[in-house]
Amino acid sequence: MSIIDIHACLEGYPIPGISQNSIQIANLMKARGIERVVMLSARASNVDPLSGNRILAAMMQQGPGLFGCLTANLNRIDVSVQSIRDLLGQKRFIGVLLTTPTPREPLNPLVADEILNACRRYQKPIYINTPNAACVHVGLQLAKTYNMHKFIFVGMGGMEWRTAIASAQQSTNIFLETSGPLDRAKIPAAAEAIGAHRLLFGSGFPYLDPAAAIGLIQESELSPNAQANILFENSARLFNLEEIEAE
Amino acid sequence: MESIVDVNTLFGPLPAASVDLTVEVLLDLMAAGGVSSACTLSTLGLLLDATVGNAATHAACSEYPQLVATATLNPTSFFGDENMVYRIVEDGFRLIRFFPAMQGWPIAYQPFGSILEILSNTNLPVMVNITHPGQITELESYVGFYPTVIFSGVDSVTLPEAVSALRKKPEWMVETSKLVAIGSVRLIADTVGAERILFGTGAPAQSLSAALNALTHAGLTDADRRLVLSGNAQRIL
Repeated sequence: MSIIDIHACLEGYPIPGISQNSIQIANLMKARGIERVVMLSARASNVDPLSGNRILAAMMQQGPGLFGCLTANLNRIDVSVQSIRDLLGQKRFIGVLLTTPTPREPLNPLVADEILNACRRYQKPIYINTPNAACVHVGLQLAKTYNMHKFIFVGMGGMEWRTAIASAQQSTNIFLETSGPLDRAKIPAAAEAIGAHRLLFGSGFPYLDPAAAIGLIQESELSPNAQANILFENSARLFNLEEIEAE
Repeated sequence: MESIVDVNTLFGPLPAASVDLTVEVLLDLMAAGGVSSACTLSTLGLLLDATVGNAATHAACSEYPQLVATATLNPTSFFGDENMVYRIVEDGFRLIRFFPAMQGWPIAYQPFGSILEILSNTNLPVMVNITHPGQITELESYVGFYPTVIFSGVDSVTLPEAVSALRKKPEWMVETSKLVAIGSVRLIADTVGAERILFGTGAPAQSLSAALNALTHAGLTDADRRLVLSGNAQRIL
């Protein structure tokens, strides 16, 4: 079964030898049967979008199956927009993360406007951190306002995953990424409410072992076909992986 | 097939979970995951009344031999009755769990200290649910006299504190249900030894497969993995 993990952090992890470069990440993913991974730069989120995204762009070239999600930091609008213009045209950048230095707090929709407009021409999905209901509410507001974009709610609301599911019911351009608490109920509930076709497998590597995240999907009692869609097919369609990998 | 002991399971109503937490569901999950025995307690004990909950736990564990009776006490309802504590030992409970954050009491709390002073005359291990940084440090300074304390719920945020405490307290241990960050279990094994780690899942609210998969990929030797999965629990219980 093909698997793509659409949420893995590059750098910033306290235990050495795990996520300092893309080779380490790719090897740990392969050991868990995952052959494709979308990396996000902790350096770009926490320190400097420009250098973080450039390092990520270089890391994506280290092997097949490596993709990146560009980070746009709402506290650094100018350099974030510059990163988008410089790098987002690269095929292996498959999306843009909107974030701030305090990712557990909701984004400011007014500040997000400039970045979302800069992203329009690229037509790539927008990642938003949703570790709680407050972040989900703002994400829903953005999804409704910028309905030309597709939004991925990273962490699907954390412990408040019911709110994330409810928001996805309200706006069909929202996809839920499965990382966060290993609550046995959340995947079946989401699949029943919005359909397995809008769920995307992500782990939040290395803060959650992808093997554990896969276990949550396997234990969901969804059909093998639905599980395969969550683990790979939905993301392959959303990100046009076939076209990207053909080049 | 490896013997597996899960030291962290629950059964009964749990408002925070929307899955069915019946004993039957727990037993089905255990069978599917190859878990041979599980320490379990009724959620009534942690959410409502320890006496009622412990009775429900005792009844369930009497019926199903693969369940290991785990008691709980709520220090906010403890008024110094030593017999209440000793009854837990007499009734055959093998582990006592505490949930400070869920029940709204701090670690440095006189009734909690009193309970552990009484319990220190027994060989019963206690498991304390850790939810935020600072709690483990408080445990070490406030109830450092207690022989066997197990931290449950340690995650990547509270891991450094747990490792620091485990270094100082050679009999204290940690449970794995939230140790799902890559390298965390291996770090503990390399730092203080695999004999200090107990396998736990939080099932049925939390995914048993996820916990098992994480441990399978933790990078432990076969001997160390066996210790974590069952050997350590069999030793202390």
